[in-house]
Amino acid sequence: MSPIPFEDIEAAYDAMAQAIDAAGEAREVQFFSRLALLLAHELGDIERFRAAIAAALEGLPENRS
Amino acid sequence: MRPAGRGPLDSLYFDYPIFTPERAPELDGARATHAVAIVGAGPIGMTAALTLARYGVRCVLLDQKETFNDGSRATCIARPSMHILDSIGAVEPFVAKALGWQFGRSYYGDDQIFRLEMPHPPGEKYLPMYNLQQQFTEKFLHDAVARSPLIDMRWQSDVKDVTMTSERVTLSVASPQGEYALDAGFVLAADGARSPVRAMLGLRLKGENYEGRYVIADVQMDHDFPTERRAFFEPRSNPGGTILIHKQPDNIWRIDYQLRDGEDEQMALREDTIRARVGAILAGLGHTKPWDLEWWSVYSANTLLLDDYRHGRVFFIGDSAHIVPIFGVRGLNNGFADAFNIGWKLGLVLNGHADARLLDSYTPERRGATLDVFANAKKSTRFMTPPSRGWRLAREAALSLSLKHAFPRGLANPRQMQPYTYSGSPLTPFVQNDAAFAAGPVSGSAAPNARLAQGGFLLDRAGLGLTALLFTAGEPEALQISALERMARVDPLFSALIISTNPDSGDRVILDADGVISTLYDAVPGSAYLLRPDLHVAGRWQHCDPSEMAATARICLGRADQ
Repeated sequence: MSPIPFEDIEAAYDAMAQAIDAAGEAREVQFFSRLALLLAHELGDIERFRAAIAAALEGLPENRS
Repeated sequence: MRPAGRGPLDSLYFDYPIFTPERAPELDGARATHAVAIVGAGPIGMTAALTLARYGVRCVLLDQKETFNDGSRATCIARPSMHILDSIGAVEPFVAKALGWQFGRSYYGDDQIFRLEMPHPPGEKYLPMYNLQQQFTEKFLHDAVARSPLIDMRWQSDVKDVTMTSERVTLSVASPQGEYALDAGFVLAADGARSPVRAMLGLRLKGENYEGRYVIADVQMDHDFPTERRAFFEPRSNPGGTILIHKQPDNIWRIDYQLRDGEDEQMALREDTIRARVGAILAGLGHTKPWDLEWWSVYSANTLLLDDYRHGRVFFIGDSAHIVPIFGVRGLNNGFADAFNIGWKLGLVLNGHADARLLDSYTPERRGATLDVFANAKKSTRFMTPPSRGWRLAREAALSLSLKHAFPRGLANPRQMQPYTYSGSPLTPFVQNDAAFAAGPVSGSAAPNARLAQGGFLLDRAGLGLTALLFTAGEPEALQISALERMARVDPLFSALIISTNPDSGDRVILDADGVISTLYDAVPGSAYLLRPDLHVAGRWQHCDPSEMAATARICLGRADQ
């Protein structure tokens, strides 16, 4: 279960998609690295951050884009 | 389009009748002003004609074609539309032929990531959705049109010009027997997305076009799967493109597949390309038996609408007023709601029960519904056809995480059409009363249905005019009786349904001994709801208020401002 309501997941989805386009393809990796560090800082819990990293790595789709 | 060697009407399952019009009386000098002329005898124009007939209002229904639509096109009919078809006396063949459904599945690659379950409360009369080819929708409506003595159906009658005065609209109509002028008090333009009436009046749709293109192809095959909506994201059988699959009657299956970016449309629509792509998709489903190609077409998503759905004495209904993305089945269903909305209003105005100012509420209500559709459809369209790299990557993240995590799965929800809530409408004056209720349908929303202990359904008992639901523990209270008397003076077509939790109440009331209806409406003895002719809640009162109810009724009949 997500600790935040589904409407907020939808809003996060929209904000992320728009930010990727704003960053531009050449700089999207830098954007995501910075975002990850900022979120780790906001989360304030290294174990939860490590768990999120593991979940994101697991089942990473083949590169289609 | 159809396979080589077959004409546009050479269907594997549908026999097209060819209609020829009788000689129009106008050609022999008749110059009566018809109350209403409807341009376009598709599902929306015919529904409008049948709604007017329900109120005893005559109309002329014109269509330039000689038969029904060439393909299956809009195939999903939602529950609120079934209620409209029920109200106009046309629902029976739909129930008999259409395939009802409630569930769907979304897949990412080979794995199911989302199970769609559309709400189906036990009191509802109809399933959330029905699949039926548009030709059958048109045939069933036309059968009802042909039975009605009030509808003058004229096929092969093409409107060439429109002129309007403050008194009437004059249409120049080209028929096989010659061209004539036809006068009408009001015109309903139900002539589709490319509406010639709209163009002749110099009006334009405004809004956005989306880039993603989909091919829709119908195949006939013996394929064993329940009637469910299936969506395949990143399928092996159509790399880079989403697939949707729907079952239709007569063993027809609708395959929608997304074209890849940059794919040439002409090439994509060639029969050999269609056969190769559809063949690969069917093989991906595990279908190894033979299949026949029936029909195909292409579409892209648009959100376009008119600034005003009314232009003097002309009202735009259905695709002539708005073009909505296909995802979520809102095109046909919103068109039905447009037709029924203007139908009951114009019906009541023309039979003398309502004042003409009621017609002013058509644009705010139905254009409001379109804008609401756009907000939802934008989200589903962005998911179905991501417009940029950002949206593509976001979708890939959500879909791939959905394999193991529940939180993003709802993003794959197709957000199927829901009836619009007219809470901001001028016909919904007492929304503040909602604060007194903890549950039940809010002001402006579609009334929920209930199965009655005496048999049948609650909403079957609603009338042609306004309908009050009065909740009691036995006999109506003094205030409720006073409300009934005042309402009957305001609305000659008024009907009252008295709902009693007392099992010893007489036959004249609706028994609710188990309290199911009272709970559904969050009502206590003394509560009242007022329903509009389209079964939306005009207002509700925790404790019956005769003057507010009478004021609401007057507003719903165009006799007073808010």
